[in-house]
Amino acid sequence: MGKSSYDLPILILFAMRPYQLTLLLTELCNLRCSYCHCDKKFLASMRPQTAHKAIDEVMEARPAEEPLNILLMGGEPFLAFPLIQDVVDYTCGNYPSKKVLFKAVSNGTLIHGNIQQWLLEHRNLFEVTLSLDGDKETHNRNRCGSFDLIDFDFFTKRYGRHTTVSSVVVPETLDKLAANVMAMEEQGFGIKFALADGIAWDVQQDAPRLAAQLDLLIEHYLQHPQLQPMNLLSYAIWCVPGHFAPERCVPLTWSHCVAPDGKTHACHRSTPYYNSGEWSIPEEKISLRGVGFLKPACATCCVRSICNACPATVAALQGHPLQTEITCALNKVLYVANAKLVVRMFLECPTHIHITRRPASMQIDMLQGAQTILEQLQ
Amino acid sequence: MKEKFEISADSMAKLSEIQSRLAKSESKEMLSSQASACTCCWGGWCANGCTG
Repeated sequence: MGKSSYDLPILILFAMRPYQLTLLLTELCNLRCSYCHCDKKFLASMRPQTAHKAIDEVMEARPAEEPLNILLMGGEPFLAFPLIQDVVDYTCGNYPSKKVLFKAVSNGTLIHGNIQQWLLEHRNLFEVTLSLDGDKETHNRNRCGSFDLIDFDFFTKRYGRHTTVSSVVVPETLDKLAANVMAMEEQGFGIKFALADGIAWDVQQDAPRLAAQLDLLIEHYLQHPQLQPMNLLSYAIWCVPGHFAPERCVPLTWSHCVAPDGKTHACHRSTPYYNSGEWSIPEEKISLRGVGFLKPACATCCVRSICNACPATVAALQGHPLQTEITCALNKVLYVANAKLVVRMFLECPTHIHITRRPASMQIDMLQGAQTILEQLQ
Repeated sequence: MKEKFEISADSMAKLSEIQSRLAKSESKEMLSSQASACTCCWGGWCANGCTG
């Protein structure tokens, strides 16, 4: 990689990056979603003393001026609402000058009444990511009919924080992907979609279906220059030419997870509760260090720096040739769609915020990255 | 099989022109924390700070 004028901004970006402590507060969940891999035999919840110790240790280990994210995971973390309150009170009470953002990933079904009130009182430091797959029919299909248990008005009108939804698409809901994205955007949500991991995608049939849905979304974003494209169409393709270093997840360097028993893990995905079933991370890779590429061909692929950035997913899929090929084929569809969107934006919608909010140096690399992807991955 | 996305000669010329113009205005402004997005997770639970 040659010397570039981008070196300084990259350094600044990384210096501001928060460390993330994940606390797996509880292994209990009130739902049984169809695509969830968690081992439901695990039923532990964390004791307050365990959480306090984990917080003290991270405060001791990290520079005082560095911001900290504390991610509260479950199960359903709001089943442990008293512990959530305790963690926030303990942290703010003992480390008042530390810049901390608390985040929880929740199915939303318990966020009513006093929990809503508490969130309103703490909204300047507490963010909820809501698990929501789309409209009622889509959501209920895989998420135990829980759609009507969510108070959407709270998240979109009263909470006062921009809420991101975490959504999963499966082959059976794929044809509604674009409609669901547009509907949730209309409600005011930020959107992070993922293709369900480790399930029987039929590449011959599903790759064209996915491409068709992404084409609908490309048209949608070209008509709405003020809308930031959802995550599947916001890939960091400006990293493809090699001047920009992508932000990758580096467990045990930028983050770690503490399980209910107090043991430290690379991330929540490597805890015994999450790491079960056919797609388990093998013991020798459980630290998630030096996991490498999904398959040997990745080493020469043009998107190698940004593709399969979750080391836990890569570690779980390595050694499963069929699943590896499925992942690769669907990823290619996604990268090509990202490239198409960028090229068409520059040609047809140059005022789009996806372009204009970035410095010229990054725009150049977006365009170059898009052209490389179209040449090499189609 | 889906059709390949091709960039026409006219469009390619236009893209080259855009790149030249951008190169002239290239700035060293600091990247915002929103500058990056990634493919790592869907729940905002990785530590990349790109949770939207």
